[in-house]
Amino acid sequence: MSDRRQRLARGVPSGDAGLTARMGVTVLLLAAVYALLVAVLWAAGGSFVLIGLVVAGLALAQYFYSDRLVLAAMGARVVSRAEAPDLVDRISRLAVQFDLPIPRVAIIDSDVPNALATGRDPAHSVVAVTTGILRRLDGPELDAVLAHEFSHVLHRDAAVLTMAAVFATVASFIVQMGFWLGLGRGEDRDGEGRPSVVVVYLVSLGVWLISFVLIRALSRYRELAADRGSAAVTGAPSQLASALVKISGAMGRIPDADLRTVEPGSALLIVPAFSRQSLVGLLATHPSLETRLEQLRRLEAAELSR
Amino acid sequence: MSLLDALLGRTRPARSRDEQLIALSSAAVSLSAELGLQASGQAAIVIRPLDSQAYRDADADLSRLLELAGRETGATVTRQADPYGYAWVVIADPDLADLVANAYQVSIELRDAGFGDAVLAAAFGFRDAAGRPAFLLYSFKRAAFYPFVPGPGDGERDNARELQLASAVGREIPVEPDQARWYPMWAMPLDGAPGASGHPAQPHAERQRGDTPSTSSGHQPQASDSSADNQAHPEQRHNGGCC
Repeated sequence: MSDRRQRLARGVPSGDAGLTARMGVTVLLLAAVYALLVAVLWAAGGSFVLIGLVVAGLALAQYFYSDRLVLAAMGARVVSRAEAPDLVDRISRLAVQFDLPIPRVAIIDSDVPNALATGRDPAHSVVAVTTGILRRLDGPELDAVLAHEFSHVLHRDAAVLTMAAVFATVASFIVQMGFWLGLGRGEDRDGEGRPSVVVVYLVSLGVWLISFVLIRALSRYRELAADRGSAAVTGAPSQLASALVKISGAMGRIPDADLRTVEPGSALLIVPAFSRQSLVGLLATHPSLETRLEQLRRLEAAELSR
Repeated sequence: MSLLDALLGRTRPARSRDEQLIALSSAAVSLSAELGLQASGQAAIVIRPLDSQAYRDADADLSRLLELAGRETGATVTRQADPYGYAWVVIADPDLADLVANAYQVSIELRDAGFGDAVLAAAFGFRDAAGRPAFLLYSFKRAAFYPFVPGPGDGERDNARELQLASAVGREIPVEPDQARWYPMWAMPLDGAPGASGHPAQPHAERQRGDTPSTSSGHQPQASDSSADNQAHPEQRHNGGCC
């Protein structure tokens, strides 16, 4: 009895040193390539610093509108309890468990089964689900998916990933506008020893590509952390696993045209809306289904063996 | 949970604390004098869905424990499930002070049995002179009370009445200061509580009156009951994993 009492009290293990370490290394590498970018822009002179500041400012402004932007991009409609009593009741019960304010609840009219959370902090959070996921999952599975989204809110993932991408946005802006910027400046620069426009362009290109891969890695680690959060709070890793299998199975059968319309918010979805083989691995926003199921299986086992 | 934990993506389930629950017994006079509210004679403690294997193991113990609690306190203690698979321990006792003491006792026994952080909230029912229901909820995660008064329409809350209630009891009991955390608790298995569809939950109330004080003999009755409640949402029927 006392053995089981302890096991119940401890529940599913919440931390994972390996995952935390991988996340830390990713953030450090990101900081390193960003520092390189800033250094090169600084050396290249005032106009590049100005471009950097303006683009970074715009990217940060997005952060304040992230909830509205994502909802608009996804075509999500905020609903009241009268419209979706079951969903709203489940979410308010989960809010108690996560000790978070009740998020706004939105529904996306799409048969693609998916769910997402956004908002810069818990007080501005929105949890959205598609009609497709409501149709396919049973109650406990839906709770597990909603708990995954609550974990994103708790971990402030919308803010973390926005922050992580600020300088990547600057780099991509310079790459996309590179030739235009270069033509504008011409060859009339007079500062000796300053990096040329070509060097700025090449460094930006490198920073953009590397940071893209790193941000995707960070996104995958945050997904795994949200899966753990769901398991820790609901105590039911197997329900989330079952939901993921159902969702992924359905994703494979949905035509591509439908998937692309859902792509803008992909980094915040529970399952990537873009499920092409070419995008798996390094460039995926989400870990593979196998990786996620393996983690959930380990959590279930850890819980049983305690 | 700290911000560092959040940024590192570590979820530590919020602790459940019962130390402030007992304070409610001192609020009876204020409730009756200022708002004309009398205890409805019912309280309930809600536990999150018990899906995991460890909880399934503890499930049989819970029934035995409640039977024992009922015998010790003289209150009627029953188990209910709501349509979302959450387990409710419903305590019936006409006197508010006894009701609070019994609810506190049950919460301690739940904690001792290892349900710990799965214990979410306690609800206490009240009625005004016209028979309209009002509830005081205790969040174990916040260790504070907040009011929940169903409004006239489907899924509505009577916010004016809730604010009156909060200020009437504010001196005697800790009231949750953040109104964003006055979590509505729809579909409680209590008399007068708005049901899953927003209307008073008659099936729950009847089932409760028809229930025997101890339900330890039946392990699965709630599963079938609650799936009946889910007829409006057949696709979201849960597997009865809770009870």
